[in-house]
Amino acid sequence: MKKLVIFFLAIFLPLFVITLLADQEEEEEADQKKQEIKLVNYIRKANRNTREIVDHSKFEVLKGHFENAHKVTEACLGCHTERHIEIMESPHWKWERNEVIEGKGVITLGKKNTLNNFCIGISGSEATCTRCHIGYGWKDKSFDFNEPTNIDCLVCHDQTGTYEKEKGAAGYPKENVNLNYVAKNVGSPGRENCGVCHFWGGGGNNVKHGDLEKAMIDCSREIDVHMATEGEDMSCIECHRTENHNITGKLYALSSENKNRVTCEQCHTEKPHGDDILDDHICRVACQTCHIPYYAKANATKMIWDWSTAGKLDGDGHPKHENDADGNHKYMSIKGTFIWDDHVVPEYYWFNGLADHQLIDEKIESIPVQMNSLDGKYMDKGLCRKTSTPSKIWPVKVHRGKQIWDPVNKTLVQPKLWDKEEGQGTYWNDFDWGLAAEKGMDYLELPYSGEYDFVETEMYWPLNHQVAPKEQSLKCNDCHTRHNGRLESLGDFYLPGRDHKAGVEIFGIFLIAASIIGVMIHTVCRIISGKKCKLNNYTKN
Amino acid sequence: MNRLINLIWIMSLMLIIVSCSKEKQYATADEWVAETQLGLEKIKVEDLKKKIDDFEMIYLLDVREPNEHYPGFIPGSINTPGGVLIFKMQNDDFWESEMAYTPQKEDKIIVYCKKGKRSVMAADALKKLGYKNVKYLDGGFKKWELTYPLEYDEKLDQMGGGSSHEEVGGC
Repeated sequence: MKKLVIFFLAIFLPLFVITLLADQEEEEEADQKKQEIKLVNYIRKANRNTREIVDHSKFEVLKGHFENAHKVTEACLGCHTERHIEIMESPHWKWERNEVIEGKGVITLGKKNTLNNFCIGISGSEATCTRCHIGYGWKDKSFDFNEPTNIDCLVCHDQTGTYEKEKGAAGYPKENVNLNYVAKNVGSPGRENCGVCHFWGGGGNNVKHGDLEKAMIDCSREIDVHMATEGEDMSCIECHRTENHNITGKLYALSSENKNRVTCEQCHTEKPHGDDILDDHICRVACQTCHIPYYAKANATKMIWDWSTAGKLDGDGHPKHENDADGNHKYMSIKGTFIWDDHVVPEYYWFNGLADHQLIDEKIESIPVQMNSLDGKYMDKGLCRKTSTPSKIWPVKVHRGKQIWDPVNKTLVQPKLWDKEEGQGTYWNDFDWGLAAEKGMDYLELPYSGEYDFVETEMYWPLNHQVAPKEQSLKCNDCHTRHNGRLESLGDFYLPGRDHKAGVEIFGIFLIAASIIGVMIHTVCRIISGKKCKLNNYTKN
Repeated sequence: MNRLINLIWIMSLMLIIVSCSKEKQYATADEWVAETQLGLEKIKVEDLKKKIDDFEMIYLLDVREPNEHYPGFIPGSINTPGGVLIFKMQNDDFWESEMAYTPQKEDKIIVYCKKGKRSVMAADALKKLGYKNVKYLDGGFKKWELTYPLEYDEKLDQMGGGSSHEEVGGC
């Protein structure tokens, strides 16, 4: 018997130990895999070639004096022939593109003609708004979109940080810009180039997006894990890959179709976690939902813009502005009242990649007016006619406003806001809403009843930037919790941990109660028939 | 043998008492706030608005710093910064200067800050001072102004300059 035991021990003990060790190794390997971020189609910072390919300062054509900005473009196109064709086809140039909207057909949509609930729209005020256009001279409808030398190459390609467009000058640079110096120092666009417009949209830093702002020029991992200066230090175009001046990525404030998008999966694949349960979430939850737990993490973003309070002047009849406790504009005579917020928890919506827009000539049918609306719902599982991909839960910044409209024609109104001089009927100079509305709608050749009021509006901005380090991402119980979960507002589906079904719960309670009653009946039976019970017999003995 | 067992019992008891008496330490301020708020009552901005509209007798205390209070605060609130709050509560001169009676232990008190963390600690301090009806405003002033953007008071004259004519904004 003893020999048999020793034999078994000799065989099984080593096997047991080996199995344990192997399991441990597998676990360690799995842990290691989880630690390593799986990436495709991406060159890490350590392996990037940062060597300058072309030294523009050696080109003779760039050594001369440039009379004006158009001449710089002429010089650029002298070597980079035909590039203007690519530029002129791009939405960055046209500020519009053709989009198919369900029920509306092909619509030409863009900054050129679509209203928002920030500065409302550019029409009639082009000379100031086009400080963010990649061109020179768009001051009104007469701008020539077919003239190549109207293209501003420098705003995107300047590497000196000295190039700056003049305020209210239709996109021309400031007089003190040394065009010769800038032209000799050009290269691939960096964050500063994109940021000069995309960080400052709406008239100030981080006003519009909430997840794009000046702090991201030099930021920590906590602000943005991709752009962290001490980390991967990625520029915008590393995600927004560009070919022939066609920049991928789009903004649903102005776009409607599910095309030309930038996705996390393009580098991180569809199974990035090394964990099946987490990877399964990708079917219905956007990566951004867990990985952007807060936005406006460095500076505040505008959450509410109420134009109806604009126009209050001080005792001397001058426009005024007041700041809130954090130093953000709280009130401006030219624009009204604002509410800002930082470290904002996003709102969550189902989104299938399609958006709709309230066009300026469309009747308003419901209030608050949805300036844009994101399509999607839980039941949209990718099999419907609209999209081949399912709706996913997305984090969204919702900007709420109150802006001028025509209550008789029931349409939004484009007021004329800006002019260099007073007396032209612009609101920012003359503070007369009626006149500004008349001028703006007349400019667009659209009907205006002569009556105006203010209407509540909402605008939806899906979040994509300011991705947090993984340790700060949402955890399971941020959503799968009974009370105050992140997804409390999405009520059209069953979420384990959050939702409960009365039938199942009653059945469970019934089972527990039945078990207790069963035990009690059994106990009573045992007590009644105590003398025959073995336990009693044993105790007596 | 019995003496040894008794000794072990006494030592164990002492160990438990020492362990329990050691004050709990928190890794982060947020952790401290999260635990503290469990024992406190909060009020939603909608309910506070109703109380204000109904002229209910409450002490509404803004525990933010003065430079945060002056640009915008909930109408009717008194600025008692968190650092001095507990010392102001029984200071008759202070309440007289605010044209209010000194709060009594049974009075209804609602405290708020920017987003609701500082007010949790302030409410906890007031409870420890014996105030029985203390609540903190859930989401703080930020939640209030996001819900009622135009319902605020300001004391810009206290900021040494008031509004400015400097040209700002515009696109």
